[in-house]
Amino acid sequence: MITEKRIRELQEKFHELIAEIRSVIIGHEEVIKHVLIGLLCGQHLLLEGVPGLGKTLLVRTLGRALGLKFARIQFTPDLMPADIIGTRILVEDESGRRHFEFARGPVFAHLVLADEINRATPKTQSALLEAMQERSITVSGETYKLEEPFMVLATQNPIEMEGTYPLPEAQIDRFFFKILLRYPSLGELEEILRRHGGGQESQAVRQVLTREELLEVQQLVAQWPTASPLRRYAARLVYATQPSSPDAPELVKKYVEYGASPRAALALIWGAKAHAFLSGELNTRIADIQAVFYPSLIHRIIRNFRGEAEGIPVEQILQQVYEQIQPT
Amino acid sequence: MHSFETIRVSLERRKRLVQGSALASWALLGSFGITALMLLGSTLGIWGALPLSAWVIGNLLVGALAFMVGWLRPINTIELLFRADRQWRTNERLVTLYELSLGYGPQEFLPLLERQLNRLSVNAAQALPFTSRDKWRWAVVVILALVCVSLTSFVQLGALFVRTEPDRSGATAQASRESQRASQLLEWLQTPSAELAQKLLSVRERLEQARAALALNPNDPRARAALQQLHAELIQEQQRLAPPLPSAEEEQPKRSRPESSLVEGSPGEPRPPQRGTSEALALNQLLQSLRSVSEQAQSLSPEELQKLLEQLRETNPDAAALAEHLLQMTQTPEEFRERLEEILRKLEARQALREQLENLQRELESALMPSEPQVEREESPTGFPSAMTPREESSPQAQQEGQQGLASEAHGIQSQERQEEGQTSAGAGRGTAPLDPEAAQDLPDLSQLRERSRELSVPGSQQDDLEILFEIVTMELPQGSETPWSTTPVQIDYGKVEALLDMLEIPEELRDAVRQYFLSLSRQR
Repeated sequence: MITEKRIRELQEKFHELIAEIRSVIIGHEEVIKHVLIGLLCGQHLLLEGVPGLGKTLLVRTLGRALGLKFARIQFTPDLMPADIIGTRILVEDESGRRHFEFARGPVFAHLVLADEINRATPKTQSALLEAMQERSITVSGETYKLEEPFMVLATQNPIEMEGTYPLPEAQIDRFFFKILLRYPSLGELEEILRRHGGGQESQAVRQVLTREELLEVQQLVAQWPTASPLRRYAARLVYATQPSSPDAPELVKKYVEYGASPRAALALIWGAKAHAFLSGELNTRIADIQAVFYPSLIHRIIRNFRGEAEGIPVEQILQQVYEQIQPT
Repeated sequence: MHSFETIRVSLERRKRLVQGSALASWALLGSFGITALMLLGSTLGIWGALPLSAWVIGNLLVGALAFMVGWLRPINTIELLFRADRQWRTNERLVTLYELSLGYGPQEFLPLLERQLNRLSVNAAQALPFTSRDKWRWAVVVILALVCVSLTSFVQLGALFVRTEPDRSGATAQASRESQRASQLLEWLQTPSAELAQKLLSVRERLEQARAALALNPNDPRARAALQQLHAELIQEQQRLAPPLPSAEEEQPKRSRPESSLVEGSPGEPRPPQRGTSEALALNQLLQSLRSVSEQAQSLSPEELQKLLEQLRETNPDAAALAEHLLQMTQTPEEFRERLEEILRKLEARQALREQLENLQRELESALMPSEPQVEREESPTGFPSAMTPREESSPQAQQEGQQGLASEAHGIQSQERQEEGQTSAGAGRGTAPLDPEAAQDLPDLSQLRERSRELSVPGSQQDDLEILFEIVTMELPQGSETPWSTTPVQIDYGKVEALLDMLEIPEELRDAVRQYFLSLSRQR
């Protein structure tokens, strides 16, 4: 039976984890928090930002702080699925007999950084996405289960779209959050220069949480108490993104082709639970839902032609939904 | 009960209060609106006054009922606690706790959240305040209530100035009684006076004839019978001349002021001896009161006349009722005075007739003076055993005939004449055949017996016995006999008379006379 003391200990450890990450990553508090939320929920994240904002550094630091196995896959157009999941290779044993042996790909890690995922072909993308969804891979009729925790952090560059393969909506929907990395402020940039200006690898990151503790926290967060009005609020928020919904704001009706899927509502609730845990609360709050509203929904809204043509940002549409739908 | 339950109960109570208050305010808004409209209608005279207590109690009942309905309406506790969470900024702990307490979610979090709540200081009124709409609605209700109170006060003040009679139903009933009484008096006045005058003339002629006959023979039985008949007729005429008695309903309220009544006693009761005097007084008062009204009516305005009638109602209700009735039946003051004069003329005629009747009565009484003992005998109560034979006692027919004899005074002179004409030989011993007048003249008169007893100057005790004897003698006479000479010869139980004579202390001289009297009766038989 869980005790408050244990909860507080785990929460404290996560606070230490955040502090450890922030000792390396300058700024990006919200990003760090959302990444940790994704980690607590055991879900996969899509990070979008221009190159050089510290995405890889963030994931690597996280892996080190948690003592987890980290892998990075740089997606390129010629990247093959076997490059991700692994392949069967012919090996010769000591007796000279040859046999096939499965060489595990980088996906067999706890934290996988799929860098610039939109640069790989859809076939390769699908291989990764299947692994993300099933948490297992099948090669030559043999299934290999991925070890928990398993988390994919895919990145994509919003610029340089030539020669890329944008992820289809159905596959984007499988990402728990889409986290936007903004450019650091001047102060943050100066701080980056101060800390990392020596050309050396950043200071050694201390492991503050074990894999088992992470799994314990994941189980704890999954059953975090959430009252029915919060679930109703999450459902109403998601439902309001549908153009056919009576509660849909004007922008949704005007510029949205498809609203958020039920998976978005699940992401809201799960993310809210994790957010409540990180906030030191013992129950989920409206504020937790609101905190994860944008990363949960922003990649799940598909604008119509008019919306794209007029360049209506999805953030603007979500802003209207957020303002119009009030908890009742 | 831990802190969460306390908070939940207080919140539910507050919610019920707010619900009840809101519903009560809506209900009172409607009911006070309707009340105000009704009071407005009362003010404008569209309908009757609405008493303050009635609408106040009615509205209070409506408000209380609505409050109870609102109080008892089901409460969505989750919604209530969620709202409280939002108001108190308790981070949805209350609603989460409530659902955990219902068994939803991980139960291990329940004590953890309760411990957090113990440090919470809450105020239910702050979480569920009355909305501004509620406050405005209550303000309108209060304003409407004040309007209703003002309208009620206005109507009541208006009623005080306009109408002095507090009880409309009582005034209506009184007016109805007065109208009935006036109709009764007018109907009485419709009896033609000429007919009464003719009747009195006839009575006077017959009185003169009887007096002439008595002058020739003081014991003339026919003359005496005629006088008795006239006496009865005069009593009847006296009753016709008297104003009618008020009905029982009219009489009831007058009991509280007997000085204003025309007559005493109810219609079913026998009239007291002084009735004739009181009736004359009542007639006189009625006449005087109406004459006074007639005299003053010429110079009074309608309002002053109404006041005069109000005063008259206290002193002479009959006069007031008559005048009020005439006032309502007539269109103009002149017509009213004409009708009043007509009534006065009729009343004066009645009064004149009454005076004539009283004169006649006095003359009749003086003419009847010698036969006074017989009159007393008729009025004396019976109670002695009958002297009739057992056969006669057992005969219902004989009893009936005896009663007919008692009522002969009221039957008129015709029946007396019929008896005198040809029924002398009829049924001896059955008490039906009258005595031959010539033979009856030989009988000793009871008055002579009395005179004789007076002459003897018997002492007190013997005098009492004598009176008893006279009573017995009277009782032994056949019933219906006016005088000894008109008695019917009956079977006298002489033995009983002798026994009584032995028992009583009767002087010897008188004993012989009594014996002689009864023996003569026996001889006649």
